[in-house]
Amino acid sequence: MENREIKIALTGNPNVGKTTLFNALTGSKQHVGNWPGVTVEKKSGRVSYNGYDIEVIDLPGTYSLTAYSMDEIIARDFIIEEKPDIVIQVVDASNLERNLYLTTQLMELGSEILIVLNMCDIAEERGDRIYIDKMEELLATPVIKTVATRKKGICELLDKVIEEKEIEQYHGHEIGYGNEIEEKVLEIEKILSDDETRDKRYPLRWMSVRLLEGDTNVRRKIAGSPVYDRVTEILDSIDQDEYEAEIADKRYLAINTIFPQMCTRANDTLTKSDMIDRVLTNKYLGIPIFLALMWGAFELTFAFATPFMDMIDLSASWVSEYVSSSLEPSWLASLVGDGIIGGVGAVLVFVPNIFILFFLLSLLEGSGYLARAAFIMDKLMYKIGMHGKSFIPMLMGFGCNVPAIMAARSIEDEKDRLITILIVPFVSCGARLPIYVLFAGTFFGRQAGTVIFAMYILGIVIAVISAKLLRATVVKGKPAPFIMELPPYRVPTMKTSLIHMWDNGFMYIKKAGTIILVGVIVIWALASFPWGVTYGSENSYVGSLGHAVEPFMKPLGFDWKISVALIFGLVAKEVVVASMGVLYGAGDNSEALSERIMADPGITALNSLSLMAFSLLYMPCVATVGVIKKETGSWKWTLFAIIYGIAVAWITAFVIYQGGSLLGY
Amino acid sequence: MTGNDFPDIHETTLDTLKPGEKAKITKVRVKGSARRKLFDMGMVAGSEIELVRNAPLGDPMDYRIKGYHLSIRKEEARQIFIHKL
Amino acid sequence: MDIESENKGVNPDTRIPMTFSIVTGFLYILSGLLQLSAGIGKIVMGPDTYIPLTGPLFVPADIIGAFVLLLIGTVFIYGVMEMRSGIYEGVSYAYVGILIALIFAGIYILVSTGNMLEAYLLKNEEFLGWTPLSDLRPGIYLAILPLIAFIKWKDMFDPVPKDGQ
Repeated sequence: MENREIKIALTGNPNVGKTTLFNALTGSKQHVGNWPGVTVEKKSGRVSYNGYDIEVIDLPGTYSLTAYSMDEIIARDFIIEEKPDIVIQVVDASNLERNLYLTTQLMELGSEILIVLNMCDIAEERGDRIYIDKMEELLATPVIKTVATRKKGICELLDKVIEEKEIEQYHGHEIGYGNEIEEKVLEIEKILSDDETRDKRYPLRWMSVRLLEGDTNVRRKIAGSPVYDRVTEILDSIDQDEYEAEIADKRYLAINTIFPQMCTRANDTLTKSDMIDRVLTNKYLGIPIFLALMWGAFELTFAFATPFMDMIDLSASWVSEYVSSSLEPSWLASLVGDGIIGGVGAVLVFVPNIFILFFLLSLLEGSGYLARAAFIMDKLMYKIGMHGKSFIPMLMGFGCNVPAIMAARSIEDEKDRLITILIVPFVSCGARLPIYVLFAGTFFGRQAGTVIFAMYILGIVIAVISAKLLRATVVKGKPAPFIMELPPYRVPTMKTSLIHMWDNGFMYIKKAGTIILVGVIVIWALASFPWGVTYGSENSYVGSLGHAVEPFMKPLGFDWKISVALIFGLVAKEVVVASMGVLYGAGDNSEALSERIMADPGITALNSLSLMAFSLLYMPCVATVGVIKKETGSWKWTLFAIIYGIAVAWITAFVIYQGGSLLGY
Repeated sequence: MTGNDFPDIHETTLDTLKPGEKAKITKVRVKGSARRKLFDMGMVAGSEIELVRNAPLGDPMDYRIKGYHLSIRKEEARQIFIHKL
Repeated sequence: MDIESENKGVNPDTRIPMTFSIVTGFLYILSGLLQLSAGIGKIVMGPDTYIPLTGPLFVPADIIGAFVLLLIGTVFIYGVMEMRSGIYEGVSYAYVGILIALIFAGIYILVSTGNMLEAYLLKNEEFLGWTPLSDLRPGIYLAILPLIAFIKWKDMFDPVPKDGQ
């Protein structure tokens, strides 16, 4: 017998356990991709149950279905255009009132709704009572109780889905908006229905209400319609701000009239969550605790990852050596060994960092602390033209820019996110430290520590100035308003965090990996050809390139050798040191290299200072470029990041070198 | 921006609320995209709201509304009119 | 700052969490101070400086770690202050103090596991002569107290009615 197909969509507010339910439903049969044309993650999965094939689509978590954010537009367009058989709204039982606001909007969309009452345990622990029968009756919608974290109620839910699909009976719902608005709604409905060519998937009443609320997305949808002018005429005659307020009022009023009948809330209790917040957002202790926890996360992401990174490094060089020695002819050995395997190694070496970082971010998010982090740091970030949510990605940047840019995903506002991505590369990552150690150690002796510290500060200053500059020019506008739920603290589920970690780690390997691999091979080719030259020597293409750019680098105090080293640094910034070693014939011996650099009259303390600043700021390494492309989804911004970086680096190094020369150093 | 359509001596703005004080929202005068977002989060006229605490640096604020915690900046709170309870 | 009124016997007794917080808080603060002096001593007076007690108590010269210990201790003591003035919510600090102490012990143990891999599996030269005892520190062994409290007091921090009800 052929299995019957059912398509269900999961919706719900953020932090209601939607992802946990999705994981409980679909297990490991998941597919992660992007929604067409945007960088918002799309998750779908399948479950076979009692002779049915059920496709589950996890829609982005939203508080509403207005056009406030990309997430909301995606969710509502999916429901209207793809017409899932059943829309499941996951509702947080301990926060019913606000959750029902989304329910009112789903009802207006005319979809078949099934409500999943999740986290009943928390509500009950607090002493709330919810009357399921009454709720089903008042909402005219089936309600199922689950505790997704303990996989309770999953089978009942699937039974109900099948039952609902079988009866195919539509439960109608409507909210009245009062005489004045209803008149306008009718008027617009009538005009819209005159247009025979309209997209019939969109319910007329829903469109009319949205238009009256000032929904620009819906307005654009009817822009080409012959009745557009008649609709705008009505819309222009009303005070849309007032209508917007009135419509929201009426929705909450509708909820308030039924809410007391289906739920009795316990008297105010001091919950665990309140207790934790009292300490974690305490006036005096809040910031020190935050910094300590961030330091802990940092230790785990970078210190705990080191042995795993070393293992990958060792295996890559072992494989590379093995291949080089066993392949013929030698150019092929070099291509496979140094180029391809070196490239794969360059991709894989970040995997431990990224896996751990995403695991921790998921723990922070699942526990509810990520929202508090933004809450605590927002004032400071707002002062430099950024949003509180940008703090954690920037902090992570000190370890490695690659996961830091990926962490910017938690920022919803496109502009805030873009600025964060563009300025993270100026935060001095761990790979730049060896460069500072070499040059500061060689030229500044006892002051080396101060010089290195100054480099870190320089990076932060440039990042802050860039944020302000970008805000004033290409990414105009103020940071998004801070309107954020502080969800109750919860124990995060291991499974959700592990899945989150795996999905994102894998995405990195797939998407950024290709770009990194290509970058590494291109640089290998530049260093190896024309055939027969010593790898990366003056006669190779990279050497010629070094000579070619020398005129541009002279004003900064760099000769062709340094230029070549900087080109190699694009693979990963610490490679600057290794290639200086090759160019100065010192190999891996850092003391010998230090002595030879010291002896080179072309490099003085001033040159080295200029070089350190340039290394800090110039074009991010290929791995970072790879994730910038992946995360912005745009070559334009990726190119911008590269050019902007080089320009800033050039100017800064120019000021240091020429300024220093003028002062007689 | 004086809320003179409601001549009410108790009327003030949300940012003047002290920790532990409760109020009823009378009017939301925030403009732009933040306006809709506030409505979606339950900041509508008639809702009861309580200031739980300020962030450690003084801003934003942590309010309790409709049984959950919502955080907004003073900048927006200044444009939300309330009637202290 | 605190708006809660004093409770008169409505709320559960706070004597046990208070005693626990005093003991644990002072232990953390004392080891924090010891670790801080070890860390500063190394910088100011050179790497061979020996601060008494740091050896047998496995106190590393780690300034950031010292701040973490001091912070955990302060959280406990802060709670004691509130409980002493009759605010039941003061037990929150004991609860969060326990959680943070356990989180950091967990982090140290994980990092130490990483070091073990470096030493025994990868045979990294930098970890020559590393033994599991090299990473033992107050942040790990002091966490036994919070761990016991965490297991014994599962119900202690369940929701309670707010004052006056």
